[in-house]
Amino acid sequence: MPTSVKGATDLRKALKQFTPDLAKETTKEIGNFLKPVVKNARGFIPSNSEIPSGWLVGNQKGKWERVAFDAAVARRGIGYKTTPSRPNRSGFKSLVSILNKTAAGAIYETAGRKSGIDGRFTPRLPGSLVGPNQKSQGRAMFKAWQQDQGKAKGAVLDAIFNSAAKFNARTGGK
Amino acid sequence: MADLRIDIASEFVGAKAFKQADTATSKLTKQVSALAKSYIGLVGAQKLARSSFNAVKAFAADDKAAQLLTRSLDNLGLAFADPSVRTFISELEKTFGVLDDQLRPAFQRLLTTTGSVAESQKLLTTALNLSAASGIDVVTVSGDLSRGYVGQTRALAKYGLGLTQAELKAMSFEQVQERINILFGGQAQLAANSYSGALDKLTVAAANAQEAIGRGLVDALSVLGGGGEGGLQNTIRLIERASTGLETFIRRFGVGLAQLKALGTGNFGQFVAIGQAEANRGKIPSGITPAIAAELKKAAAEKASLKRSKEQTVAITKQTKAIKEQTALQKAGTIFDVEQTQIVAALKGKINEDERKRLELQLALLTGNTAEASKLAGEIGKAQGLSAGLIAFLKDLPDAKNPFSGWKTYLDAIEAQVKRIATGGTGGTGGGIGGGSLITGGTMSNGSGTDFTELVPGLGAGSAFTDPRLGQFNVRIELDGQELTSAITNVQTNNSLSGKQVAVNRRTGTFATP
Repeated sequence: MPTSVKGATDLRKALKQFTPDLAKETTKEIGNFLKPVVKNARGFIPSNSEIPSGWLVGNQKGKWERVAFDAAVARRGIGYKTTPSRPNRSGFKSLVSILNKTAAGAIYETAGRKSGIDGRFTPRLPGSLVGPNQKSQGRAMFKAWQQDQGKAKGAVLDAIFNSAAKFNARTGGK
Repeated sequence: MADLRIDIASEFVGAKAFKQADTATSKLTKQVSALAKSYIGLVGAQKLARSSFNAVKAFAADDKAAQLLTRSLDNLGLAFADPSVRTFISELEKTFGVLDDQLRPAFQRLLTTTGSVAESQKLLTTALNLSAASGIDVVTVSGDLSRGYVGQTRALAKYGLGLTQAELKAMSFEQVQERINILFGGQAQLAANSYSGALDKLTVAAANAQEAIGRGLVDALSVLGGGGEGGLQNTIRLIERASTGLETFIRRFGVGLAQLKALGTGNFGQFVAIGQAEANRGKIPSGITPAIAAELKKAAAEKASLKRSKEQTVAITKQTKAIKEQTALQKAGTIFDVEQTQIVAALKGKINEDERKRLELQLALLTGNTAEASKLAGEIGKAQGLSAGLIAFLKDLPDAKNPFSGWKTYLDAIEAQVKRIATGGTGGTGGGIGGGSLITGGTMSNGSGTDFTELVPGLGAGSAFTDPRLGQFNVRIELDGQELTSAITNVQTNNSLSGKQVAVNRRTGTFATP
């Protein structure tokens, strides 16, 4: 469950409009807190030699070609985002998030979450699922997030609150 | 597939979404209100138009009913009663709250049946009472009454008069009417004085008002067309012209726009072409208008039809002539046909059925009547087949033997036996007097060999039975063959009557009694 921050979107808009430098500073500060997590997560992505050969790019044809694994691509697919997303069905808008965008990366991240480590594929994957519950389990990004133990999260929130305070200080608000 | 992400910080923007939805709803409400106002205006205009149309329609229906009634009165020679009938119906309408739309057809039905205005008025009043009591509309009731007036009282049973069908049939219509009046008299007045009746009266007033408005509108349209007899027609023509003019205006507006577009693009050729196309619209290059073309086509079709008809007539005439000639020739040929004449003569003679059929077949073959020939050939063939079968059957039958052929032997044996008895010899094992002369040395014995000579003292075997006291006597038996036959016949007859049938099998030649 993400932490709900009331007024963050308005703050971001205000920062960009009235204190662009502060906006950039805040974005950079948040990025600095998230980059280690992302770097750690990318490190959990295995190399091509560790992956079952049939899943590799070049061995998959047709519709499965899209989800074929390439370590470089899967690593690049893990990143962070500081721009607000569109509201989801529940009305929540994500302000800051870490992403695993590629299909192969997502498969490596979550394979075996529901069906368990069973069959001919998931037991051959390196790494293990880490996470407190099924929805938060993963082998790379979620694992790195778990290992971070909420430090990045706290820092990001502090950065947002600090920027709000700075903004208020500059604009004379409370 | 949704991105796999970890949300670090989120904001709940549902409230804003709701706000947006609220704003959108408010805008929509305002727009709907504006639309509703416009719609109400439109509906109002439509309602007005619809009401006007209904008013004109109601007036037209009322006027039609009134004219029909007037024509009925005129046809019955009761035209003089038209004003009084109008007044009567108008009064009834006001009194009982029944629309003249119903009263006029009801009265018309009764009038055409009875042929009397006074009788119809009386029956209409009865019908109103019956209608008020039964809840059935007055037109149906008057229809039933008019049928009852001419003797068909069956339909009146449904009004609950307390009469059986038999009673209804037996009673005259006056009696039935009297019973209706007794049972339901005053019901219409009572109904009219009730609240329901008051509402009906209001309905009548509204309907009359609608008719009056309709009349006014029609008059107004008539006045618009110049008034008088042809005023309405003039208005109709005016409307037609106006609609045609509007159609032309819309079309030419479109043409103008197209020409402007062509001018805008600098395409003068297209500009001129569009103009010319509009100018030549509805025209045919040859100068023949569609109406003339249609007339020409119709005339050509008629001409072709006439030609076809003539050709058919000629063909039929030729065919008839040929048939006649052929028939005449055939008839002439028949007269001089000797063979045919002989057959006809033979047919006139006394002949059996088989011969007749054969002759008829010959005649049919000669005259070429294939159907008859085929039929007769079949019948003869059938008869021949039967005859052949019968002959074959009789041929297979064994010769019948003479049932009396054995009689001669039998009779001869009897005769021989009799002769033997007569000559005196005994023989066989049967009892009786043995062969030979009883006097001159025969023996007397029974069937078991007992010699009777022992019973007679002094009578030895082979000795003569002589008694000097008796003297000498001779016994002679003579049998007539005819009598013997008669006796046998009598015996057989008796046996037959006693149930002992003589079986004579003709085919096998046996003869026996059971």
